[in-house]
Amino acid sequence: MDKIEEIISLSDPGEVGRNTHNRGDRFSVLVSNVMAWIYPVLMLAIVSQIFLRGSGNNQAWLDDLQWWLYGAAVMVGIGYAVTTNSHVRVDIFFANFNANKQARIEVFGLAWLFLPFIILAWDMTFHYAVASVQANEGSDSPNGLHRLYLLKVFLNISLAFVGIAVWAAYVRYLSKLTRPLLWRQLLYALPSTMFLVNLIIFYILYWYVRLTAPPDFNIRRVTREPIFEPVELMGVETPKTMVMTFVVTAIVIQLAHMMRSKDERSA
Amino acid sequence: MEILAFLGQFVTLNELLVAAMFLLFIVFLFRGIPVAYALVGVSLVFALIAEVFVDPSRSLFRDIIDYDSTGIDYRRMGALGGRLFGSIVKNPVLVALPMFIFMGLMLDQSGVAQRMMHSMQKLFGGLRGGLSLTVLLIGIILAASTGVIGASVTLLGVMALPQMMNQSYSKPIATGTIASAGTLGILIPPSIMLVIMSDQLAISLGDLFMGALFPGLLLGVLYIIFIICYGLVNPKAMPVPQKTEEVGLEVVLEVAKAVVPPMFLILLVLGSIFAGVATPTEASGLGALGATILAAFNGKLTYKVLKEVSRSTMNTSGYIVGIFLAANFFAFILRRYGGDEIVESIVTSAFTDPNHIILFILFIIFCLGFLLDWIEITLIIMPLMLPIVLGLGLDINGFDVVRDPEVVWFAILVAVTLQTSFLTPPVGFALFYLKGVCPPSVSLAHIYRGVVPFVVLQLAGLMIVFEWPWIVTWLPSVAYGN
Repeated sequence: MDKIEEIISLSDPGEVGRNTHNRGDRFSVLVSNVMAWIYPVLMLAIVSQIFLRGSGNNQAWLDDLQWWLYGAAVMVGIGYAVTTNSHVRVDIFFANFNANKQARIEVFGLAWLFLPFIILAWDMTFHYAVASVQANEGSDSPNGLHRLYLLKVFLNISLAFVGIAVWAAYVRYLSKLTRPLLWRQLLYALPSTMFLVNLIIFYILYWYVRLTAPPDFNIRRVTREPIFEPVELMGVETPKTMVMTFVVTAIVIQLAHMMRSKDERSA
Repeated sequence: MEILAFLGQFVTLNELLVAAMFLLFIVFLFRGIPVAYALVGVSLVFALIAEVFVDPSRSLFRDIIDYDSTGIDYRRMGALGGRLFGSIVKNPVLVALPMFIFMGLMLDQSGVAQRMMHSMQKLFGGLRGGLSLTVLLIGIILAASTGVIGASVTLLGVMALPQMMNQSYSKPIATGTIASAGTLGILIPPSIMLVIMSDQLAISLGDLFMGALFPGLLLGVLYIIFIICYGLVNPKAMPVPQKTEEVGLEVVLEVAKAVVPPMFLILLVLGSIFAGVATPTEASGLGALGATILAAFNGKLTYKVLKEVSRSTMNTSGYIVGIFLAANFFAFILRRYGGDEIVESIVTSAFTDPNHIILFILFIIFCLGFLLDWIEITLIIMPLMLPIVLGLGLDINGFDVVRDPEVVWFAILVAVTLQTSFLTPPVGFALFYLKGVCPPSVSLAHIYRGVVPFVVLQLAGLMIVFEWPWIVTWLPSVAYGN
């Protein structure tokens, strides 16, 4: 009987392979471990709503709270599953690849495919959250949980969290292939780096224009300024923007390369 | 250009690009890139292709190949924020997903399965095929604990296989029983696959749960009849142990004590939906609490168990929602290319008879089940199939109560098909999970031979549900009729 218990007993997903985790991985596990307690709380929230409604004390805010809790927890869960490497894959061939090839595939999947999407989703939910905060958005139900914008802001933060978890996992796999110096990290994640560089330039310009604008300037029109034409990933201008971003990214990576410390240089 | 002009005689550029999209996805999949990453990666690549190359230069090849502009650009992606929030976060139905996962994990840890095994074995021990029956019954009762097939097959395998080997059951029949009992869980409610289906097909989760109950029990009964007949025809395969305990009142009581609590839990979940006390989402919370209480009664609820169940719930719902997020983005880009209409026209132009179209879709899903888990299939394929099924104008009797009865019926057919697919050699998922916990003396060939009769039973069950749709739609109509 003991053997059965051993096989079916759960193990803590965040503790598997702990010795290979870097600081980013541990951060992801730590946050997720705290957020995991949402599930028992959610369970209690649901059951109390059933009993309260049954006894005629329907609490509309408890209905809202259920999907608030669920939504917050599962978004963090996406990052957790990245760290624990649980995202579903077809492993009929993958299982037979050697460790090097497996690590290369992980690097490609994380930094070339998944991370650019997470950055995109982050950028999109950022605008979404800002609009919600500006509108002071509330609940659909008069007695529901108001301050819906808090949840939308959290959606944005949770995507940043997923991004950190992806980057940490990417560096972990990269270190199996080579020494993950900063410039290598940036270079081997080229699409993500380029995207990030583009976004950073865009937002620096955005705030520069906005802060230096005359007081009667309509802030909604900031991005219509001619200065944004070359940096915005829009329509026909996009190839030019991408070439420009590529050049800037190359310079950034070159800078990171030059800033290696002495002992890194000897390696 | 010449190549494009040549192809332009047969297909549109949209069709070519959509085909390339699926092809690239398959290439990524077979390289072992996780499904979620592959989906978003493919979508990003084709969003870029559309925005940077194809859309701006469409005037160049206007005369040689048909092309509908996708209109993808960075600002249009802004819809993504609302899509993510609306489909994933603000989705009260999906709240049931982590709760049922929690309930299943907790039930596995609660020790009820071991108790049932222990006591029912005494009750059925003297019967021919008693162990097989025990496994089947536990599989049916504990179907709730599953949904992630691996978990239930593993649980039943480690519990029952050693004992069946001790009683020198033939290896094929022993492994066949376990694999098929373990996969029943994805069909019998409450199953998390049905939760996701109800979201993707926009039908009521209560209808789906009620609709799945009879087909699930039907399959269970078919299995049981088969085991009994097999024992009569081929007694050597399932020998009766030499010394058996007397089956007295004490044994019956013990069985009752072991079986009633989990039965009560299932009744609590389904009954609260049936009686309209709770929505299916709320029933999931009741179920999770019930499983926790069961674990506490069996003395298994420690801080460590609660902690690890919560964290595993986080992990499992994380990877399911990851695919959710990715499939949502994939569908967004695919739709911009007109991919949904292309798929629809391919499927509907292949056959004229609506029944043949349904069977054709089921066959595709059956084949996909060899490669993909139910999560990907329900999230990627089902939304594409929904308009086709709705467009067929099938006349399924919903007893004037069930909304979209043909969709409910179709969902159950898909569920049974997937379950069959996971059992079918050579690459059914359940078989490999089982192999993972088998002693070395059991080979994959034993398992393959063992499941063949069950696959035949599954197909029989599928045909019955196909021929008589009221098996699906009757119970929901009664549950919500008054």
